[in-house]
Amino acid sequence: MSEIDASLSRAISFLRRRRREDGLWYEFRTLAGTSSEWVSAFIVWILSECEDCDWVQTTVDSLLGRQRSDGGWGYGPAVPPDCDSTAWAILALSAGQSLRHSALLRGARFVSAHQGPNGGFCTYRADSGIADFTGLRKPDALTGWLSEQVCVSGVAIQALLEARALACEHTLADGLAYLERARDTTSGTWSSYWWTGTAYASYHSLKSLSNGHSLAPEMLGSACRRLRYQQQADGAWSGNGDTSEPFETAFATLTLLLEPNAHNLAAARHGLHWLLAQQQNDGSWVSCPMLRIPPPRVSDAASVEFRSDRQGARALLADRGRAFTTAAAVRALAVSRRMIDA
Amino acid sequence: MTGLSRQVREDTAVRAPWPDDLRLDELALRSRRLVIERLNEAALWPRRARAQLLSGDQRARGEHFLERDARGFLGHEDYARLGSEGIFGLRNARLRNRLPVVAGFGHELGNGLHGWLRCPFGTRALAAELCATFNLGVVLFDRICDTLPGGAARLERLFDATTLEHLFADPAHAAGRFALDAARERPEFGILAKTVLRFFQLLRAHAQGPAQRELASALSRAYRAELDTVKPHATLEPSSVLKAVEQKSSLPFAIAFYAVQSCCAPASAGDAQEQAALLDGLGRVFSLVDDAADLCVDLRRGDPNGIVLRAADAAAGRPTELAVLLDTALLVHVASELSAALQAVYALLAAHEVRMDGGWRFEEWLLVTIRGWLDPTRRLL
Repeated sequence: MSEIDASLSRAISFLRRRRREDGLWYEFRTLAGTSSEWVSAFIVWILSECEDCDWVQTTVDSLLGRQRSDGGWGYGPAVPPDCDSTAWAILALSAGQSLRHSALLRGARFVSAHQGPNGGFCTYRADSGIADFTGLRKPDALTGWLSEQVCVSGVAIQALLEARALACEHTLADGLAYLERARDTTSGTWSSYWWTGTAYASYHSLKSLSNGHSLAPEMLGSACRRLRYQQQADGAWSGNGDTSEPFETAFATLTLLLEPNAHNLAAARHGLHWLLAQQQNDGSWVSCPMLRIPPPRVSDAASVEFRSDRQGARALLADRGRAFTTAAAVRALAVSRRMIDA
Repeated sequence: MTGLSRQVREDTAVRAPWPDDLRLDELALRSRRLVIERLNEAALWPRRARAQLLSGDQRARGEHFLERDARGFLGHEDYARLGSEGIFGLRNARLRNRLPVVAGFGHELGNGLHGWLRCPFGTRALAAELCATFNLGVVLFDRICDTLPGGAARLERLFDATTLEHLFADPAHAAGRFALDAARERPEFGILAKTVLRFFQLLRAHAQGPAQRELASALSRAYRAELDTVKPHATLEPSSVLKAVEQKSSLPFAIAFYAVQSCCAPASAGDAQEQAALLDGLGRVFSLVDDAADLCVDLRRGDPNGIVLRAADAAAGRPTELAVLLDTALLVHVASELSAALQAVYALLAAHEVRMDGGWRFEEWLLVTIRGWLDPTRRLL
């Protein structure tokens, strides 16, 4: 068994142990509670890349049972459904060739309804019930959460492409054009609203553009050059200063592997070695704070100072149970398995 | 019953049929149940534990082929590219996850055909490599046509009928040119070109005898069928589309058969009638299984599917293919047809008592493969 296979096996065992009896994972404690649906859908999508994970079917069934009447899924059962969680649920269900086509199609319609005038996708719609849930009913109080965001759009477009609902050709074209425009032309990367660092948003934007056949080689090339430049001496990446972070490293590695030329493969191998060295005895990776909660009225998260000792708006959160970070590392290992001889 | 709920029920029954989304769910469940019931009745549905064991074995052989052979003929960078998320667009994840299955399926088919044709033991590995390489090429060709915008047209330009002829005569020269042109287009074309080149190199080094002619003819027809299935339906007669869809699934078995027959020195030419029955049967079985397994996804995406085309043909007076599939006995006929075709092929394979690597019987491999194909999660494969 290769080093990558052995590491994957330990990480998957960890994820299996962390799952609760209802088939879901629970991570990221916020004022809205702990996420279950969104986190679980993300992890199912990750595990679709791995062998011998039939046991995730319980999670898929659990997610199917939690689809709301409007077709969406949410951060957790008490929170109104949102575009990002629903997109992850679609990707999770599609990965397993579910027999429930209706769930996918209803979910795809829900996601499509979150497209804004610029072609991007917002997290919440004004009529989602989020104003009542948060108690923020003033007209501008939720501007940021209702505005189009790159990190949400990158996942939403992948989900719509996967569900391939015939009616959304123009939705996809507008969404892809939005992502092209949203790129920072100086750095060649994409910035995120909900996440620290650029790797998560860049990976999902590039993946959407690639899946939608709209990816110019130059776009991928410049993003990879930037990531290679940002790689730290130990092989890791940081989304929040100088600390080497498994989450940022996993998504930076995945981005480089989208174009496996000699330079990118060398950098990805270095990142992978760092990840392998950081795995804990229980199979997990240590989580660093990476999920941001921007104040709901703020559209540009770059202007906000986030703190890991806060709750609510401006909070910077780690997944304390480590399942989310571990899943991200699993994805990087699983994709690189046949590409890199560790 | 309250007045409101009665009114809703009446409205549903009279004016509003179920939404298509839910009818698709019903179709997915019903088609799968019908096929499994029919196969179970005929003792053609293997137990799950046994199927998992054999599938795991096949997958491991596929992994081994990829690591050893494909890495060799593709080179380091293209081999890495084959595993990357950056190629083949939308179908990328499914392709990457299924590569060991694709290679393993070809490997085991070659292994089984080698035994069925009673070829000498020394050529067994060659048969497996030939069919694994060929199946990988078929799947890559198929994905290019299915997923890359204008992929089929570009492929037709790069890889025309003359190239196919030249590949038989002088694979190194013809495929070298093809590979050069292909790599300039997109990485997917370059990977396909190297796979095709490897297949023809193996043929060039080992093929002899009359089966070569059959092989050339089957390759040419399969190439045409593949391109026909991705043409806009309006440009072809429905019967031609149906024929192309069926041939697309069935001809690869004929090609694998003739490749093994021409390269692996069977002791005798064998019974021509029996061989024809086997090829027809295998083609029929896999064409039906392929259509049944992808029925709802094809319907949702508007991709060509033999069962949907039959439904469209029978749709006179009904609004959609979906209505035919749910309201007529077409699915029952398809399930019975599959069961009958599979029984016939099973008998043909069992009569030769072929043992494959790992001690599996050829006919058992066939049943397990079909079970895996019909598993909605495809996890068995």
